[in-house]
Amino acid sequence: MDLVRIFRSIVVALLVVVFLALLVSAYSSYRVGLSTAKLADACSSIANHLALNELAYTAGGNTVEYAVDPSRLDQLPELVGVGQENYSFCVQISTLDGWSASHGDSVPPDTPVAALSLPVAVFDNTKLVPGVLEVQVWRA
Amino acid sequence: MASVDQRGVSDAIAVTLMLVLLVLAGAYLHSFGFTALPAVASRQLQLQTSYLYHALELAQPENYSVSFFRAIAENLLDIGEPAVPGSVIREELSRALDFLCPPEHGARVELRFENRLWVQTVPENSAPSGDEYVFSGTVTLVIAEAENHVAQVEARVSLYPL
Repeated sequence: MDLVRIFRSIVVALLVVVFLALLVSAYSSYRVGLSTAKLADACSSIANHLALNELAYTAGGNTVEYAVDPSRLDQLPELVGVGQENYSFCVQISTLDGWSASHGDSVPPDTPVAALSLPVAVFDNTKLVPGVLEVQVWRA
Repeated sequence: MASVDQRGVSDAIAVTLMLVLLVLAGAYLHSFGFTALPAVASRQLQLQTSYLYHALELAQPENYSVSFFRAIAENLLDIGEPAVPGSVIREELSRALDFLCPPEHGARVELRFENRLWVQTVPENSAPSGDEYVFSGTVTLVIAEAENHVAQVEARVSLYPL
């Protein structure tokens, strides 16, 4: 009978330890998922801000939203704050006819990066042509 | 027959139950870690859909000075000579959608005026099998005829995973 009790206690203790390990692992995985989601949301927010404000094409004093002007790439800041965190980013604008321009540092190695490509109209000095605004964001 | 004091069977059942509970609790706890990412992907696709709509509303096909939506709307309205012939705008739109569409996603562009419909998908003949992200609006054209009037063409753009 004592042997059975000892065995039962060992099994229960083992299950409790496994459960605690599972809890810690689940919490850690939850934190990683949340952090990745936060970075991806920051990327969306920054890309949206760039397309609607910082890179927006201006015609006759009026801002044309969803149309980007590549000549404004040089005026972009190095860092952008979203929430309470600062993010670095690099931007690439490319058009259907194969032209492209980029701005920003290259992505540091071993850094989590979020990327988003937005279809936009690109001003190519004479007209608005189909293009893609690609933004890569990482924590500064 | 096993007595209560012997507990052989009851112990085995208790341990099995605890193991089952442990596995269920583990799966449940780990599922929390993966709920945020699909939601982010969904938000990004909705954003890309709205941008695709506005890109087609503003951008112009090669060698023409009217936007994709306006060119299609003129073909739909069938009033006089359209700025871009139907076959040309169909080819140009297909090329643009191929370039603008996110990888591993299909796109559908639909413009409707009364009972006339213009539908184009990329890849050709693809259809949404699950989630579909939609953005719609209207394209307004002022028609200069004997009496000026305004035509509103309904436009709908959708993105879907292939």
